Amino acid sequence: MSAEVYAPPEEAAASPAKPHRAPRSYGPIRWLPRILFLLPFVYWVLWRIPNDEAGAPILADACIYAIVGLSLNILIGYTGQLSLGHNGFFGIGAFAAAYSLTVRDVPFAATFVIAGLCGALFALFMGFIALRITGLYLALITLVFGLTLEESLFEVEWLTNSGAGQPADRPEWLFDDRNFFYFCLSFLLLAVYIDWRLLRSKTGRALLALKENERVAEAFGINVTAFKLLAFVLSGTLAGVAGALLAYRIGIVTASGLGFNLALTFVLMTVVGGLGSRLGVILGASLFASLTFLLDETWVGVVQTFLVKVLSFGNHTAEINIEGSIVGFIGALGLLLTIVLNPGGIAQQIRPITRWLSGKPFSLHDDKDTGPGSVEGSSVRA
Amino acid sequence: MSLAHSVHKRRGLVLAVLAGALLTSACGLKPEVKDQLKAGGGAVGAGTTGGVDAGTTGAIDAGTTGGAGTTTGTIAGGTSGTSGGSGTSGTISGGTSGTTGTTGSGGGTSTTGGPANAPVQGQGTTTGIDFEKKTIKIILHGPLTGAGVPQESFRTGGPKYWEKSGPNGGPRLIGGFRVIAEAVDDKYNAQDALRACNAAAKTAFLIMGGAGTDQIQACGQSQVLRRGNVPYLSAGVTETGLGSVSNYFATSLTYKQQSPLVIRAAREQGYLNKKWAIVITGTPNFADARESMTAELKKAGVQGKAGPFGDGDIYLTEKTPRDCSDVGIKLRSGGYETVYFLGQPLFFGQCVAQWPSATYTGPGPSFGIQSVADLACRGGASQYHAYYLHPAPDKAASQIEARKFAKDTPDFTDDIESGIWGGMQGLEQAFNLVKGPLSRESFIAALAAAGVPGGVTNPAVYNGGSRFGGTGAYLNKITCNADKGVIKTIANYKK
Amino acid sequence: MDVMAIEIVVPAVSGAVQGCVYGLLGLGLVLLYKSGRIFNFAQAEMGAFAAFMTAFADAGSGILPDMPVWAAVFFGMITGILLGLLVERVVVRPLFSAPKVTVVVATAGVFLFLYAIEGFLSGPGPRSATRIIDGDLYTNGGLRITNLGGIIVLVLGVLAVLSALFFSRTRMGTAIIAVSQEPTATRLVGISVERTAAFTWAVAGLLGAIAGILLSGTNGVIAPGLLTGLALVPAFTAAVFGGITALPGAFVGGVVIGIIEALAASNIPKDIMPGSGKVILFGALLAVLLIRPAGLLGKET
Repeated sequence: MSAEVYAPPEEAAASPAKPHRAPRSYGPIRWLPRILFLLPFVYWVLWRIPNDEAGAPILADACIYAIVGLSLNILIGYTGQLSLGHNGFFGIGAFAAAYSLTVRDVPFAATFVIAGLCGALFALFMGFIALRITGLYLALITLVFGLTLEESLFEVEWLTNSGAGQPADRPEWLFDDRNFFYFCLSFLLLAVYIDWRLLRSKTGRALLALKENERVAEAFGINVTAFKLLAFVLSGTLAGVAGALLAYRIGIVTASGLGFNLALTFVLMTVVGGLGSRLGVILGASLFASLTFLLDETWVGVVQTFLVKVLSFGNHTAEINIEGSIVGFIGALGLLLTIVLNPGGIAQQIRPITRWLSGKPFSLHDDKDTGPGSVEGSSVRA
Repeated sequence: MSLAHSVHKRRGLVLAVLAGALLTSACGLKPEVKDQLKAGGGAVGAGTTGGVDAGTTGAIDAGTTGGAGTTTGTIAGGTSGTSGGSGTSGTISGGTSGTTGTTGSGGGTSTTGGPANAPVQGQGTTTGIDFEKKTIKIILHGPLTGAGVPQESFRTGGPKYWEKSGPNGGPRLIGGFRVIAEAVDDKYNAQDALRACNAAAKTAFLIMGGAGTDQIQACGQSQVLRRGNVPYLSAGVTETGLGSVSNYFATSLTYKQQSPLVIRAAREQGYLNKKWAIVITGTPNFADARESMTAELKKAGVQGKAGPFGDGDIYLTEKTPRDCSDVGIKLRSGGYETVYFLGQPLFFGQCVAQWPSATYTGPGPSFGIQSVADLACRGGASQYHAYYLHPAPDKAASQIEARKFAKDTPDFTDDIESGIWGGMQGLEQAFNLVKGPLSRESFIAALAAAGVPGGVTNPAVYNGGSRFGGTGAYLNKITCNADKGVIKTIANYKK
Repeated sequence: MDVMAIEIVVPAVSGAVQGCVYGLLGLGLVLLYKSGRIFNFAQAEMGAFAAFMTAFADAGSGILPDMPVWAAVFFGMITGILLGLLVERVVVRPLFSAPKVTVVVATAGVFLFLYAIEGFLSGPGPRSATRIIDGDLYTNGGLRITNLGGIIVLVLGVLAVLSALFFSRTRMGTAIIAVSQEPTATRLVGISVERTAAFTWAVAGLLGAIAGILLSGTNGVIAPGLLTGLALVPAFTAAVFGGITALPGAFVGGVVIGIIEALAASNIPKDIMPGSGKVILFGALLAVLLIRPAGLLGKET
């Protein structure tokens, strides 16, 4: 992030002053190529893949991860609070939904409310801690929080059935994976809408100010306490609901599926996607949700096979070992490369296209005028 | 975790006991209710899932051959084999118990010299069967990664049977169809196992569980598998929640069924009258094993740490790595001489490293005893010694048994391969029970009404009304020879 | 020995030995924090990597010759140093001017990367760790201190003293502290910031390696991610407990944390509170951070 965020002062000063410049108008016709460009994607994502038996569950996973990504983005991307314990909020949502549905016979719809509330409650707790503990120490305490939940609360037998897992059966009308994908997608759209409204509101601007400098924000009359807590609660709610979706997606929840590595995967996908960018985060999350599938089942697998062959030097045992860890390897490599070489993540790479799609002329140069949603760089702040 | 929350948890404990009671009763109820729902859905025509649908098609198709296709499934028993077959598919999807199924497949058996058990397109659910390539795909889930002892042999065991153990080292065919056995990773946890199984239900004809109780239980209870009538076979593990699952078959003794055999082994090998401890993973899926073993130990009047064996001699472990060293230390400080251990291999290694001089024992579905033994031998300074039950005998004995059945069987690399090979042998026998066209429904019906003789493994019998069909287990003695585990089968115990 | 003593003394002693390893890892964490204001989430896994290398060398797997135990341990320590240098050069140095939290995310990335590499090399399952030394130093009823336990205590003691001397008596030690406080000014007086950073990471890698090898030795088995799950949180808690900038603090903190965790884990039944050790650690960490952020031995900054 170094270069981008410590932007030269003239640019930083110029960008808010610059009006949201409308491109020269070609009339409504200029949207035509853009719509044509998007059509195949829409067709594949909304129709072609969901109708594939193996593809639909993966898309549902992608939606769930994307919601978590948005949730994490509110904390890291907008507010500048690093959370390495998002598996905690996510997991408590999953268990709360599964427990209330299976054990307490709560109606299906209500389980989402419960999951969201539980996620919010835990996040509120973490928010209070974040009022006192900041920066590196916050990162540490969130990490320990996630690990502790994984080994304690997620192992409490009445809530989680310990290792056996708490079942969560979908209702009849969602049994079909395609329907379930559309169900998840509607939640994702809702999350995107909330995120969009948030950023355009006073709250959103307050959060961004918090990230830049808490003391300055406070001096400008922003209620730091309230907005920080709000960010945590909002993030926790989204993560909790996503957890509930995961419970129904799989049909069972266990602690071992919600560990430390998941927490890191969440951070990883958000950073690789591009912190601060809604679309980037969604793309990053989808990528990580489907990575195993892509590598195993599609033509992308050629990459895997190639990597495995190269790394194993033709040694058979090594080949097997490498195959088992290749997804984690690619993920970790992606994270390190992103942080070190490409702090803006996927969002930065696709910016020319997104800018063109939003109605501006196509250009490879980044004009920095992309609105508050596209905060530059992996700007997690100490 | 906040203090308020932990207080809340305690209060919840009382409620949880009540809720737990409700849950158990609900578990007992659920399958029936769900099945009724499902049968209803099927009648409305919910595509491939509808067992009733399949039954109807079957009956209509059968009309061309049997002529008596119009008769209802249950009565069709005597009249025509083919329609009998379709009748079973109807009853299996509709009912839960094996009783009506028996009537149906009775019809099946009456067809002497009927068509081979080749699948026929459109007759019952034939997912996973490729009629052009003439293949049947089956999927085995096991810990290819994770805290189990992941083994390459989970992948190679199936193909070794189906591709290489046929005549002249060729494939073994089912009604002219090749069987493709694939392994998928369940990462040694229930969540990933269920994910894998539900995905497999769409591509494979049937699913087998390799190892891991929680994983097997999660897949066994899967709604997706049950609605799709996906036959699910696994080594016997827990009985919790699996007793009423219409598509589930345990191919070997469950842990609960093995508890008396563990005692018997201890009595015969002379380590019964020692100080006993039970170390077991704290999951509800091991509750039946824990309770039955505790009862057996009390019945046998053995000793615990101080006085007769009691609840203080039962140690629950969790996934926390720290726990296992702690438990090992407790075993040592408690001076236990015999330890019944049932849990993750990784933790077993840690336990033994702390307290290697006890005699370890327990039931076994556990594939991977060789690698676990290697781990324990190295960690426990070669003092490790144990008696474990296992569905199949040691590698050499399995090899002999296997070659009696299929003389061109290649060499087994380890106990996982021989165990899976034995499972596949039973599976082929099960395929051969099907007299009509092979479908998921006819397979379940045929197997539920009979059993398989086995070979490498002991026979499994399902027509007694129970799906926990195991009849025996082999007792293996495990010792160390310079950091390597040595496994020797010393007895075959029948239930 | 009476029952009470078994419930208290036995876990306390084993906890104290384990705590020494936490202290060693904590020492590495403190060192990195002191010199570069970095939390290294990969510290335990770096140790695990070295432990894997030791196990490979001990067993003579792959291209490695079958080494005697002492050579294998030495080899593992060398890999630890090299790994520290590599991480510094490839990940940390390019992020010199990035916010520290970004670096912290990067160290989490290093953890995941090592996790995958260990999977590549060893397979994802458990493997036997190197048995450094067998036999007992002291036994009395249930109480047992192994020779390895004795070595652990000794090693930690020596290293704690050495590192304290290092920071107070050597030029390099002073340079590291100078870099952490005023990087630009330090550069101006002719101290190479890069060199001191590389040195720090090499030492942290070595400390991690020693801790990883010893811990895997007491543990008997080793698997990808196992040592991180076992020791990362206690090590951080130990470091924070003792005051993140105070070197002897990590030592004391480690032992205290080890004892607390062992007592909690062995005396609170699982069915009442699972993972009780972790819950207590979380509470302790939180309390220290909220009440006395400078730690028990640290100075207010």
